[in-house]
Amino acid sequence: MVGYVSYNTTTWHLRLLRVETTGDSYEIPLGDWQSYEANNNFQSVYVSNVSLITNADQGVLASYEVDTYPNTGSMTSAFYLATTTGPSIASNTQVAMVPEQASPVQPMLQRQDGSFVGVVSSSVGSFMVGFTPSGGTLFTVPNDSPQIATSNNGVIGTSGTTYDQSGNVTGQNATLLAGGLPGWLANPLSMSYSIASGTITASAFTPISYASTYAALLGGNNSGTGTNIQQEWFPELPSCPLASTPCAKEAIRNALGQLRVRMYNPCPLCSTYVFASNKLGSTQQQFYEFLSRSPRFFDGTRSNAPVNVLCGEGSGAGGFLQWLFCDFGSGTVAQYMASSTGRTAVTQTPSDSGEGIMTFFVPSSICDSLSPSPQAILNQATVFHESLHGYYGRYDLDLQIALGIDTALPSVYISYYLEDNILGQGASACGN
Amino acid sequence: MRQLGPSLALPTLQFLLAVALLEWGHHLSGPPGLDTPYMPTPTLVCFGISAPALLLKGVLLLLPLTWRLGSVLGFSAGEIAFLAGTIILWYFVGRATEGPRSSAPMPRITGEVLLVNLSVAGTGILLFFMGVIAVRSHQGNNLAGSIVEGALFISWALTLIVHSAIRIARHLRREHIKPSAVA
Repeated sequence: MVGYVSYNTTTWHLRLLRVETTGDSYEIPLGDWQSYEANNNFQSVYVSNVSLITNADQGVLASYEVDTYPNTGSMTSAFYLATTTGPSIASNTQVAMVPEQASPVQPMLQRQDGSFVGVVSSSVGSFMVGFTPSGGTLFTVPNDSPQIATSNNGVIGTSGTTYDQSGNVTGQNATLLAGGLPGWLANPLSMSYSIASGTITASAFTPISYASTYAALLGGNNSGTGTNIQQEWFPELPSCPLASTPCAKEAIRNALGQLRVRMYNPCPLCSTYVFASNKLGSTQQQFYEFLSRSPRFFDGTRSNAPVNVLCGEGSGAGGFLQWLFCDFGSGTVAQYMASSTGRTAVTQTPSDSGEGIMTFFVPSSICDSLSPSPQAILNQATVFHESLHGYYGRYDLDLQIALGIDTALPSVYISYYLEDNILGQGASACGN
Repeated sequence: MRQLGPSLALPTLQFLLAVALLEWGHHLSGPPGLDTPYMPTPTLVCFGISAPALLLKGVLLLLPLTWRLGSVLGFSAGEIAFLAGTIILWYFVGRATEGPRSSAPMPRITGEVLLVNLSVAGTGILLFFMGVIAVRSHQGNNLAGSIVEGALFISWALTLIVHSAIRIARHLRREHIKPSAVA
């Protein structure tokens, strides 16, 4: 007997297309699935719900769903997570994040530690879920979705609720709770904008310490245009206003306050050791006026500001010529701080015309001590030292020569010089 | 085989040299313990070799801050402006070396010629001040690098000032020579 079998197949291909800025492109295969029909036997396969998120600056995390419809039995859904590195696939695994999962996880943010936060639905409801790139579930929170990833591995939900790294509730962000979002320049302007109208809603925005990942904010950036950028140029120093042991922000502000008081009052030693014409010149009064401007102290370890922000645009022709010379390449302040050992602070030299001091610190280098204490004196000397850079527009080497300090010594000896000659005996190290 | 003229060869070679020196500088991190940024010697030497090109960085002040602080292909906006200036600068240097030698009679001085030469001299004076600043301020915490950079700036300054002065003098001399003597 001769017979025949009718056999139709359809193959589904799922690919990622990576396009480089040079115009080169790469096809990255995620999977191939066959739908077939043979006599009365068939199986249909559909691939759907693909979503992507940037994975640092290495590649992407892809989430997708594969549904299989056999001619016998019921439909089955499988959910996958894949990661890429450059033009290659790094992992591609089937995952199950919550019981009775009904959709693939939709990744929305990347946390400080590289894990992700997204939303996933199941037959019992919707969840915000924290997960590793390989699909391990870190935590689930019902009925919320992520808005902002914070530097402590926490996350702020669209509800305004703040969560720690384990998904535990830690409080609420007043601005988001009231329906606002950080302004385009976020923390420095201390403004927020209404989600609905785009108008300014508050002038006292609660500062948020963003994660330094590219996908720290829903929509990729403060304008929500979908372009993922590292958020913060000017991250706040760690702060704990009411704690018995001060954090970096309170300690350095205290030191600045003490220095302002010292410069406001007569200080013959200052004239002798700093403002004398055979040292740096100028006057204590003019230096005090500079110190009185709003300080710009930031966390240098998390700053994504271009390092050339340290090239201040000083006043006058001299300031312009100095700015023309100044170029430190294309990296960020955080990269600069990490590029060599022993970097604890870096200051804009000179400060922008009409502006106060701009210094990026390694927070752990600031002594956690308030005045009066030897460690607080060291903080004060550090602020004095950094302010000299901003005020005079002179580099470490230049200051050391002008003040008669051996140029072979590290620049912290400028702080020691100020401690020894003007501020009184302070500490030589914090001992935090 | 036809040789490249100086107006093409010089900008090409100087551009490649500048890219190489800047890229070299990007890989040097400087000594530890500084709290003002360090400028590597190759970067300072690079700026010095094509000193007038650095003035083109000034146009960045016309751009928004985010553009001014932007970067493309690993080069900052300032470096890109400098590289563009390098091509322009060395094109004109190449043109000058290709031009007719002094045997050609000098034309009468015009307002345009005077303005061009005074601008060149003014650029030289500006570069002289920049050279002095570089040497005196120990630019970028780099004592040796800033001295070399400053010396190159001052060399450029003197070259431009002397060159423009000679050209103006030659034009003026032509003015004072009687027509009969010229004939």
